[in-house]
Amino acid sequence: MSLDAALELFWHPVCTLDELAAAAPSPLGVQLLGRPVAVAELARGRLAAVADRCLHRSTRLSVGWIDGDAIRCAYHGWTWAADGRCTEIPSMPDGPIPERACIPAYDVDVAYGLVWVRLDSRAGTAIPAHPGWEDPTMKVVAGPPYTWPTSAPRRVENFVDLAHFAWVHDGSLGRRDQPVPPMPVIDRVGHELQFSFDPPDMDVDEAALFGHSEYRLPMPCTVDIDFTLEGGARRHLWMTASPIDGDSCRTFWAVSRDDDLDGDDQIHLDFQHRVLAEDEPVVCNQDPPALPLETGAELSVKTDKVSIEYRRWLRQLAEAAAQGPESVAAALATTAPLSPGPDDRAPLARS
Amino acid sequence: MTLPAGSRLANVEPALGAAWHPVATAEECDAGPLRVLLLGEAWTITRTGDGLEGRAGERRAHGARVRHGLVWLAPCPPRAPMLAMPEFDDPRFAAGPWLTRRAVGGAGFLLDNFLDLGHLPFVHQATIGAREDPVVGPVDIAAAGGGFVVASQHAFPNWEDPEVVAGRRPLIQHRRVTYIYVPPCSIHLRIDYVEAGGTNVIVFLVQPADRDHCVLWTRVIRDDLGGDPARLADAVEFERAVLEEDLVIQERYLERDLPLDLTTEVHTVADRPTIELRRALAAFVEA
Repeated sequence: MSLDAALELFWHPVCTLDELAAAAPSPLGVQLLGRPVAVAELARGRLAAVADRCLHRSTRLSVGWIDGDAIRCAYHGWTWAADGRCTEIPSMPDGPIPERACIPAYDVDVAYGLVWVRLDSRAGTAIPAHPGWEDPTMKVVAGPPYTWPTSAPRRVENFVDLAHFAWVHDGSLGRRDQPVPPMPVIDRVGHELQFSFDPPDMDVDEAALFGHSEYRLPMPCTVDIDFTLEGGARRHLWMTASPIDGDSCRTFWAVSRDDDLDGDDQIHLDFQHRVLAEDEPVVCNQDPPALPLETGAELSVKTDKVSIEYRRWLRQLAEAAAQGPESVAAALATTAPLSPGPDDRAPLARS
Repeated sequence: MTLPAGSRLANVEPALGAAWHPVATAEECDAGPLRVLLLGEAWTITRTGDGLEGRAGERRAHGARVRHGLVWLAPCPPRAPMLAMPEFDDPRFAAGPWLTRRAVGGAGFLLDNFLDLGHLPFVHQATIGAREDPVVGPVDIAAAGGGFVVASQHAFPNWEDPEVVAGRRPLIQHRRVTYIYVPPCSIHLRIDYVEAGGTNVIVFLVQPADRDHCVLWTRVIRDDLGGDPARLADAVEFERAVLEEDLVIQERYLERDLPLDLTTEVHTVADRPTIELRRALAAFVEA
């Protein structure tokens, strides 16, 4: 069962717009699901995302440069358009350009200051929502992306794990003397897992994202948490883990707030850096880095309800991917209330 | 060709052992036993009473010898001759020192780069110049042993010719280039300047060291510098700069192993020499 085939059907961010601009006039070389991709803004703002390999002599196109409507290979000057077709071979100005001279080209778009790429368009997926970005009363502050040696699903699962707050984030987001997390009601709404969470009573940092939390998890790799703080102010914490390959991911994230709009942004990022520093040594040492979807690979208990449901849906997507993109679209659209599954029967159930 | 579809040439391909490979300068060997990397194996070269001996653990190399200022090692009986360098012993020519450069990359791609005719105006803008014609003209290719000879003649702007500067010869002149490829990893390039006279020889040898690295051996040999050591030093430095320009791209390859299956890449008529390289290497590996 391969999750990668399913992940290829979704949009994932590969860089920030600032990173793309910094690479110019060269394309930016990135990696998505193990595939090297060259991303570039061509003439008139047209975006291109193509395989980062010139089909002629295997040179990385990201070593070349943008030339009008195309990417020019640094080695022999061949040009490649956004649709992957070769448009010029300088050593043979009279042609012909071989019919085979076409490299893979991928869907590419910009949203939330990020460049998104979809390797396979056949399931008709959409870029996940970013509620803070779309709310005009909110100020959005993007944090620096970070790369961890763990898979994107492991990173996401950690982000929605309710039982680890007491242990990993003792004093920042949870308390070790209150290790029993609430059991949320989890729904599938649209293409998202949704649930809410109320943290234990405790004194927290002024910039802590702490209060009633509405979780949205647009499948497969994005999380938005809508916080209502004690005084009524609202915050969003949004993240998406982009799968570089099976063993590493790059997380893009932002915090949004509807209060103190002229205040210091940095304290909000600093609190997240503290939380990330607590998570990193734990999450980056889960073995293997890939999230096991096979039943029995790890031991789950009922307080792992969120991750059980997340894994269940990932497993359904992976199984559907073996049937084809239409099956993935169908598995993604399943909105029926979640019925108890084999993982929920006993206090000690295997996931 | 009977290699499986999608075949590629790795630096540690065992078949490459059936050839003479440069591994050190002769001076390095004078200092005592020498450890070198070839085809992913660590070899020790020691002087014996009547020559050199190469060993990798208990295994003894077929041969080790000094020639043209280099130590050469053949792990197995060679199926190709050592590259000839007739100009090296010709008193009319002056040879620069061996340039050594350890590079990240695959031997096949590095050889491909040296034989390539179409990349000059794109890669060598700071040295050979962007004013070179990007159009690759016709070439003659003839089989020679297990390798081949590529010959072509084309016009080029000879900015280095003092007679051009003095207005006594036209800027656009002709040069005849002859590449001799001896499998698996040796190339002799001879450039004859038709109007200005003189010959420039560049020897290019690749030592596949391990899976991800090669050692490049380059030597400039010329007969047109009037015995002037300063001009020879300039020519050597120019060749070093050209090589570094190539390595900017070559060292960033994501792939190390040259495709030997001709359907893996797209080729044009301008690529005849490097297509021939793939065929010759495939034949060498297959034999």
